[in-house]
Amino acid sequence: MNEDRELIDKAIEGSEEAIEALVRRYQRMVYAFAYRMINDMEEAKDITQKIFIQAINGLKGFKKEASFRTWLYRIAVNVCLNHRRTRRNNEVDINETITGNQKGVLSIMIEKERENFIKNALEELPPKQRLAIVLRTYEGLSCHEASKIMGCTEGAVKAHYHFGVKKLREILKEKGI
Amino acid sequence: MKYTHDEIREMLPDYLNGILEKTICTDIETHLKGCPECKDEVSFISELQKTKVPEPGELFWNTLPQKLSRIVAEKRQRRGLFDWLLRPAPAMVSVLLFMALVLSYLYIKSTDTNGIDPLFEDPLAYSSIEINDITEEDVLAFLAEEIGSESTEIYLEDTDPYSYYMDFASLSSAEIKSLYEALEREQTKGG
Repeated sequence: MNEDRELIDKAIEGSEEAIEALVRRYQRMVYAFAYRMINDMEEAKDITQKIFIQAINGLKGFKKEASFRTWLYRIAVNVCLNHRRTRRNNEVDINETITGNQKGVLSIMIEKERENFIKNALEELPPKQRLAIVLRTYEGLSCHEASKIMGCTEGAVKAHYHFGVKKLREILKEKGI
Repeated sequence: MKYTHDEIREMLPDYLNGILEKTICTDIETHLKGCPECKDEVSFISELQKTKVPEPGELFWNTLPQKLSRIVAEKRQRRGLFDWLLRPAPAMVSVLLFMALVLSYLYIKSTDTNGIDPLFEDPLAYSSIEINDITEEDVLAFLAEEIGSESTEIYLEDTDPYSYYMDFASLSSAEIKSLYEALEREQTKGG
């Protein structure tokens, strides 16, 4: 936390090293979140860049008593939801290359197929339910943190998560997963 | 048992992410042994968590920080030229300076008479003039006095009660029509 604050102060003053250090520290987190929300690697890479540019430009407005991680997530949520709203092509890339040779090709393919089903099912959820699942299940955030990021109450996060999981199970059941 | 079924169910993602205290984890594990619903939920969340995020590659991770700091620096440099205007103090000074310039220009313009004498030497005397007392002759005499010079002539035809404008004004519409027809006839047949 304190290291973050020091880096933020230096970044506001214009230190390129501080900006690079901040990006290096959070880039994997931001990219993973963007990918979970967008479900496309290339788009997630672009979105990651966009999120960081918005964050760095808005550093002056960051309240230092708050958590930088939570603040960054909030920006990421806004950018991802805006992107999803404007995105025309909702097709999911199923042609990702299969890597690794420890498992058999067939089992890898089955696993990939399963993953794709889950990703597609997540795509079908309403944005807030999807967001609650991503933040709670994948990002490992508590209800309190998720509520701060989503800008709603903890009860609302629990409800979005609960209904999201329920719907996801129904979708996967329909597809025979 | 400290926690209810619903409370434990809500804590399952935190449990799987390992962010709960040991004592709470023990309570959850005890509950899981006797609750097939929660057990099912745990396996479902675990299944969800198995979906991987594709790795964009080391090149992306290594170049992104420099790329972003360069973009931000370029943007700041472009904005730097006019950035001082966005700061409150310089912006206020600029606005005040501009207002002072405009006001001084308006003041100079209003006081500049270009050598023309004011109509009334004593401005207070203006209020004592009774408009009803002013006659047409007074106006003409005033104009002749103020504007009249060798090069200036005042045309008084419009005010002459015997001018031909007054003759036309006294005609009825039927008379004007017949006059118009007579003029037209004259024009077609030749004078």
